[in-house]
Parts: sequence; C-alpha cells; structure tokens
Amino acid sequence: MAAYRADDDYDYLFKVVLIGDSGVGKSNLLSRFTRNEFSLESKSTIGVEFATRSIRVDDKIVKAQIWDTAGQERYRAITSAYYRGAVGALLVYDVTRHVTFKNVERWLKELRDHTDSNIVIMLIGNKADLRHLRAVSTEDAKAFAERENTFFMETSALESMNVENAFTEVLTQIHHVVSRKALDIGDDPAALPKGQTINVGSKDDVSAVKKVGCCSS
Amino acid sequence: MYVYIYIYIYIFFYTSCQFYYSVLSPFYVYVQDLPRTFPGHPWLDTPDGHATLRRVLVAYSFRDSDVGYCQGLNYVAALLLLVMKTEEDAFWMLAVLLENVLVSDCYTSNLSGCHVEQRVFKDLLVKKCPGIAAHLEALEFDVSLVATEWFLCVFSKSLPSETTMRVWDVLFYEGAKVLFHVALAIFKMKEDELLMTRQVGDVINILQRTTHHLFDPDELLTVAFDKISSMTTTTISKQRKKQEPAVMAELDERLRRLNSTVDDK
Repeated sequence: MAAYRADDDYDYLFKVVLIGDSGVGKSNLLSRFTRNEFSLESKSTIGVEFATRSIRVDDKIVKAQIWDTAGQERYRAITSAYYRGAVGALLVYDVTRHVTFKNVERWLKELRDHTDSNIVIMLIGNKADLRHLRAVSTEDAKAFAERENTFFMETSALESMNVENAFTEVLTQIHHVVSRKALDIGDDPAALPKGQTINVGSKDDVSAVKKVGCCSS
Repeated sequence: MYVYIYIYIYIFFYTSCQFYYSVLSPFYVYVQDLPRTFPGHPWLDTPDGHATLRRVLVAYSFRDSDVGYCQGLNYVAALLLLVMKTEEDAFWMLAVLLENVLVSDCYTSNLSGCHVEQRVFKDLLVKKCPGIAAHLEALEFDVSLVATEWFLCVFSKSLPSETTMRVWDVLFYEGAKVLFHVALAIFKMKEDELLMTRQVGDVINILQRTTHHLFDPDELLTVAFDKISSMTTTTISKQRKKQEPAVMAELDERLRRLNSTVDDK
C-alpha cells in the first residue's frame, strides 16, 4: 500500500494539530506547508483532515503529520481523539479579527487539557498580509505568547510568508524536546499511544518517538 | 414633541442593535461559510447561490434558535437547494430532516446528539464488524475522527452528490438508522485494507479516499442493506437512551474542568 512505500523513510513522525476559530486560515496553512497551495475559497472543514510532509531537522528526517479540524465553538467538545498523540500545536488566530485572538485563551485551555505538558505550542497570527485591516497588534500577541510560554509568529498563508518558518520551528523544537528526552511519556499514556515500546518494523509511533532502524539514543 | 420622536428613534435603533448583536453575531461563521460550500459549483458559488443559501440558513436559525447555525448544515442545505424546486421547499426539507428524521440535538450548542450517535455507531461497529472494530481499537482509532463529518453533513461532504442523494432517499423513507447502515457499509467495503493498517493516519486516508470515490450508489447500498444485518429503529433508540447519560456527564465534566481552569487564573 502507498502509505508503506519509500516516502515513509523517516527518523521521526510528529503529529502536529492546527487549532483556532473558524475562518482563521488553518486549512490554508496546512495546504501551503504540505502542498504549497493556497485557495481563497476552500471547503470549510468539518471532520478531520490531515496531510504530511517530511523535512530535514538537524541531521534527521522528520515526517510531520499535520491535523486540521473544524473551528466553530460547538465542535470543540468532539476533539479529544483529535488531540491524541499530538506533540506540537499551531494555535491560529486571524490578525484582522480581534475575537479570534480573544478566544486563543480558551483554545489553549482545551489544548493543555488534552495533551502532554511538553507539547510544543506556537501562537500564529495569520493573514498578516491584510495590513490595512489589522486588529491585533504584534506586541499584544507577543506579550500573550510570552506570558503563556508559547512560541509566536505572524504568517500569511496567501503570501507564503513565514509558513515554512513556523512549521519548521515547531518541528525543530519538538525534535529538541525529544532529543533531550524531556518528553515524559510515562506520565500520560493516552497522550502518546504505544510510545514507550519501539517495535522494529512497526509504524505505530505517531508521536514524538524515535522511529525504527535509528540508533537508540 | 421632537424629543419624543428622538427618544423613540433612539430606542428603536438601540433595541435593533441589541437584537443584531445577540441574535446575528454568532452567525458570522455562516457568512464566511457561504463561499466555502461546494466552491466552484456553477450556481452555488455565485452571488445568487450564496444569497439563496444564506436565506435558507438564516430562516432556519430563526426557526430553531437552539441550533442557530451549525457548520455542516451549509452542505446539507446547499444540496437540498440543488434538488428542490424552490428555496422554500429546500427550507422545509431541511426542517423535516432536522426535526423528524435525524436524532434531536445533533446540531445544538454542544452537539450532544451527535456525540450520542458516535457512541452508538462505535458499539454497532463492534457488533456488526467485530474484526475491524478490534483492529481499530488496537490502533486507538476513534470512529468519531471520520464519522463526525458523515453524520453532521449527512454524508453530503464526503460522498459524491449522486450517491448522497440516493442515501438521502432511503434516509427520508426509513429514518436515521440508514446513516448507521451506510457508515458500517463503508467500513465493511474496505475490511481487508483496514485490517492491514498500522496507524490511525492510514485508516483515515483509506476511509476518506473510499467515500470520495463511491460513485456507484448501488454498490454502497447493496452492502449497506444486504451485508449489514437489519437493525430496527427501536433497537437504535434503546442504544441512544443507554449512551445519553454518559455523554451528558462527559460534556458537563469537560465544561466544569475548562471553567475551573479559567477561574483559577
């Protein structure tokens, strides 16, 4: 089957989730990073969509599995399966709509409630190309990110600005966490399914777990 | 005299604004969903199509303010508009679907009805396709990852439109149990492939690819009704009753936890 061919030649597989209000541009960040595509009118996401892309981080091949879902508030309660095993998150707001920034706090609670405490989180102010419509200042967002101990970047999926940087930074940070063995996989078995056992020949490790065939650190 | 007129105008505008803020502001979401419903469709994705869809969705949100606008309804209403003669007919079909055919509270503020359906579906998968269910359980695959979209959009976002229409024909005739038949059939059709998967991502890929390419409604419906043994509406209602308390408790617990962490700050 396709999924088991050469493109699966990677050292790590990291699951990264996209969260944030409806219409902030999550799906376009996903398509820009994984396929270098952008669409002004893409279908609104309802269930779960995901795409993968492998990049080189330090001297390792990291396969990023990016998950995307619906942003409407009432959907938030049906996402515990969505967060399972995530080791990184991009919390997206729209720089032109202040309410989407206001809701970031709520999203953060939801995220921390469902994931391992070592998860790498980056706050993303998307649609930064719409300079004349800006409603959230960079300083405010930066201050919030510092307070909440998350990374922060402003992006434009349309202009392809900082998208690559944002994902690369998150993946690099996850890699550092894994390398430092700081990820306490023993604490929350639900967060990292099958994380502790690395079976040769198995691809179960949709998490920050070192893949088969690689030197055991 | 003029003072009274000014006061009257002020009160009128004030109450209107209050009304718009309280009732309409949550519907910002639907405004941005209009062009995101079947983008590229020769009629739906035109100013006329957007306006018609907006009228149906707004009208329904006024009919049932508990539902208001729920993402997913845009796809359902759009497909109804394509097959019904008038937008009024489409509106009434939407009302019948939500109020008489589907389980109640599917689209209300916490989607509790949808949560119940997911749990019922999970149990049915164990009963009707035990092999697949056991394998997916081992992978920690939760059926809600794919079935949420199936149930909330009544398959309209997942299946080709012609196939969705055939499913809806049976759905309107036989009731909501049809959704379970069809959902189980999709898993059943790909049993061999699903049993070979080794991670959640592959399962989602297979199921999404399958639904997007199900151009032959007969193939799907044959499996749904010949290969999946029949279920009565009463049995399913009992299953729902059984799951409801657990779902409610889970939703309450989640709210309590989130509110407490917010308050702690």
